[in-house]
Amino acid sequence: MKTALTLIFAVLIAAVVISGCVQQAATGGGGGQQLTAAEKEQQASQAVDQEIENAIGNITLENVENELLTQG
Amino acid sequence: MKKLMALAIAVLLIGITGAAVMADENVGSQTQLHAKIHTMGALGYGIATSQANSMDFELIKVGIASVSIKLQNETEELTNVGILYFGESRYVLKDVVIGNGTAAANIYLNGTQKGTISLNSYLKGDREIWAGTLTLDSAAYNAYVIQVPRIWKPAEKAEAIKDYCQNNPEKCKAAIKAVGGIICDPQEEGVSCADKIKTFCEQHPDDNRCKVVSWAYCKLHLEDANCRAQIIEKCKNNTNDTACDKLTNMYNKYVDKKLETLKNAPAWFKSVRERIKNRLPGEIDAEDGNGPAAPGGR
Repeated sequence: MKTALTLIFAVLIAAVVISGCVQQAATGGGGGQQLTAAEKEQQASQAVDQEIENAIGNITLENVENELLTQG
Repeated sequence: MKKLMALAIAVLLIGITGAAVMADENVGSQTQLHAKIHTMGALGYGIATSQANSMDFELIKVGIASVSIKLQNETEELTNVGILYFGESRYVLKDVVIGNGTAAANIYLNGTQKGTISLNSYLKGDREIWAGTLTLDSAAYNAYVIQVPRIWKPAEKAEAIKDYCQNNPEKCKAAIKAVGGIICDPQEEGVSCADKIKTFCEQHPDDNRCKVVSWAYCKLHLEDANCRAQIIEKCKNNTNDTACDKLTNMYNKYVDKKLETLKNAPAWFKSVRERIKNRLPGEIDAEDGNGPAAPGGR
C-alpha cells in the first residue's frame, strides 16, 4: 500500500514539474526570445557569408587573373 | 522504506530530466530564425590593387545584400550587411547602401571601423564588373570585382513577387490575367492575395504567371543582382523590351563619365544606348514594369 502511494505521489510531482517547465518554455518565460540588433546583424552576415561560400567557394588569384584578362 | 524513497527520487529525476529536454526543444523551435537574402546587391570576387604600389595587390571576395531576418513570431526585418574577404582576412561591412548599380559600405573588424568600400557596376562582355575604391587600414586600393551568377531561390523570388503584388495590387492582377487565370481574388477575406500568390509561386516558380510578375518586379528593382542578370539575359535576344532601356540608362550614368568603359560592352547595350541617344525628349518611356512581354532568363 505504502509503495503504491509513494509511486503515485512521485509520478504526480514529476508531471507537475514537466508541465510547468513546458508551459514556461512555450510562453517565452525562458527569456532570449528577442534578438538584439547585433544578433540580427550577425545572422544577416552569416547568410551573406553562406552566399559567398556557395557562389564563389575557393577562388584563387590565378582564377581571378584569368577571368579579368578574358573580360578585359 | 528506504527503497521506496530511492524509487521516488529516481522517478523525480527522470521527470525533471525529461522536462528539461522538452523545454530545450521547445525554446529551440520558438527561436528558430529565418535569414533570407532579400536583395543581392553585389556578389563576386576580384582584385584590390594598391593605388600607391601596383605590386601590392590582394584577392578579394565580396557579398553585399539586404537580408530579411525573421523570428518565428516576429515581423520580418531587413538588414543591409556585407562581408569582405581581403586575402584571408574577413571583414564585416556595415552602413551598407545598395543602389542601382552602386554599393557602398564601411569596413569593420571586431567592431572597429577599418576602412570604406565604394563600387559601381559596369558591363564587360556578358559579365557585370564592379569597379571602385577601397580603403583599408589607411591604405587606398582600386578594387575590381566580377559579379558571379547565383540561383535566385524560389523562396526569394516568391518574396519579391509578394512585394510587387502588395505594392501594386492592380498591376499584379493585370499581369497575371494577361498570361493566365487569376491566382486569387484580391477581395477575398482572410489571407491576403499577395500571400496566396507568394505561396503559389514558391511552389510553382516556373508558372508563367509567376514569371511575369517577377519580371514586373525586376523592372522596378535594378538594385537587385538577380534582376539585372535576368534583364541582361533577356536583352541579349530582345533589345526592344523597356527593361533594356532602364538597365542601359543605369549603366549609362557611368559610361557617360568614362567613355572608355564602353569598350567591350555587349552589342545589345551599345544598340540600346544609341536608340536612347536618338530618342526625342518627349519619348522618354513611362513604362511602369507592367508590360506584357514574356519574362526571360531564369
